[in-house]
Amino acid sequence: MSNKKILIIEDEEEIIIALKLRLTSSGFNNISVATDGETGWNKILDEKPDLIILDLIIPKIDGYEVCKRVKESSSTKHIPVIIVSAKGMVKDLDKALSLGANDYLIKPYDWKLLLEKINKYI
Amino acid sequence: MSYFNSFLVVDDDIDVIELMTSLLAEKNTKLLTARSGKEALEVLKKDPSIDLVITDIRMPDMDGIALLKEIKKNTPNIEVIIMTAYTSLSYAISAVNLGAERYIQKPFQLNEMQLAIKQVEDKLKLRKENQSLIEKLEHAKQELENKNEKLNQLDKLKDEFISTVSHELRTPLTIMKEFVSILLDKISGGLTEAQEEHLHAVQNNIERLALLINDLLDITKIESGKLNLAKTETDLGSLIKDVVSSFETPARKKEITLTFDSPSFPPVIIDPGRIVQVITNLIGNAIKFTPEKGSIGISAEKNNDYIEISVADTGIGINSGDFEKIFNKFEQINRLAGSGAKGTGLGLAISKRLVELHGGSIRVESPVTPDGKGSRFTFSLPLITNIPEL
Repeated sequence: MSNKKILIIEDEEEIIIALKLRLTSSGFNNISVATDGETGWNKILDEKPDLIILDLIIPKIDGYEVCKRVKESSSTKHIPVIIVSAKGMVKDLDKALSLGANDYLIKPYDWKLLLEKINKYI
Repeated sequence: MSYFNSFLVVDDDIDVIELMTSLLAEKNTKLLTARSGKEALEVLKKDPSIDLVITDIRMPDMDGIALLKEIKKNTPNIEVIIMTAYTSLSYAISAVNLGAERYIQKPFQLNEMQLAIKQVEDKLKLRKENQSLIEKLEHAKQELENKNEKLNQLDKLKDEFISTVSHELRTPLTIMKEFVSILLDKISGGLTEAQEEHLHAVQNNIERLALLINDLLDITKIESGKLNLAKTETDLGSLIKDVVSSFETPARKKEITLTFDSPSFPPVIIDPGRIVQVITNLIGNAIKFTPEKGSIGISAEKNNDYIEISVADTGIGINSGDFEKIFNKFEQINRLAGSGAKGTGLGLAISKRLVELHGGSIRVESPVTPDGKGSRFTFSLPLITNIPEL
């Protein structure tokens, strides 16, 4: 059981359900969700999560911008960001990593691999 | 049919003008006359259709040589025949040097003049034919350029379409994959053996779809020249070993013996992810097409400046007529009649291009066993470090 807070920023309802189910059954009970980039960014500032699972194509502010803000602000740049996106081109990966994302998984992701990465950064 | 539009005969001698008029009458071409060089220039200015000027040299106002100079200066395409009673060769030479087509000495024989006109006509004819050929060529070139541009646009559209569709497919696929794996991991409750088996079938086919999307994206990237290799010094032996061990479970299921022999060789400069993709494709195919209790042998050896990696199986083999076809896109020859083992039809096409991007090549042999079965895929990778960037 972990009381570490994980923030999911993802606009697909069913992916959120699946992620929450997986996270809670892996012992993470402190989960917060935002379905657009703006709400996500506000939650990052308010809640200071221990890790962010971030989609790239999300409404209002896209994932790249959220990632950029997290990594540019001194109060949030320590928070690990794992990108989980359907964008699978090398240039997407390069862009996200150059903005400071800690890791990148292409959808459809493998849960075991995602869990491994979460455990690595938390 | 005459290739002339109109003639201009220039002479201060009215007899010559009359003679020429009767001579040229049969040509069915407009005939203009002038009695001096100056008058000739006036006529030329008024009538741009003139394509042949036949002129005397010695005339009042402006002589024939001066007229020739003027004509060639402003309208080099107008042909000029010089005629004169002068016997001096230097006149003839200077006239020809100034661009006169012919030099005819007076008094001339009629057939001599006819021949001269005929030669100019032939020249005009050739020039017109060339002109029309050039125009046709220009037209064809323009058409080709337009078509090429259209093709480029279509190609770009196709790339964008495939890329968008692939991304759009990934989201529903993610949801399906995740919930099936949640079910299989029994997070939401127990499953009967049959349910579990059915869900595994769903899971396998989700994987297949995911692979197809990746393959489609890869082939699109390769064909539009956008696939860049991330080359790094790699221990090929241990890379192959890892791929081989990832196939141990599926091999064991079909009781297939999987072996890998490799002498040691220096590290190679490759994109490890892409070479793993090639070897995975070849071993995956071998397992698919090898019946139970067969064997698959993987080897890697140095051959001059290349390392050759082979995957040989004891499957049904491939007809030599299909050797080239199997590397084409979406080409699946019927290697196992009635078998459900199907891939995307892109694996070998991608593998071939990935190997070629590395500066190597891929080939197939079949049969390879003494009893006429099996096939062997061999691909080479250059050992040199300075592989040209593609």
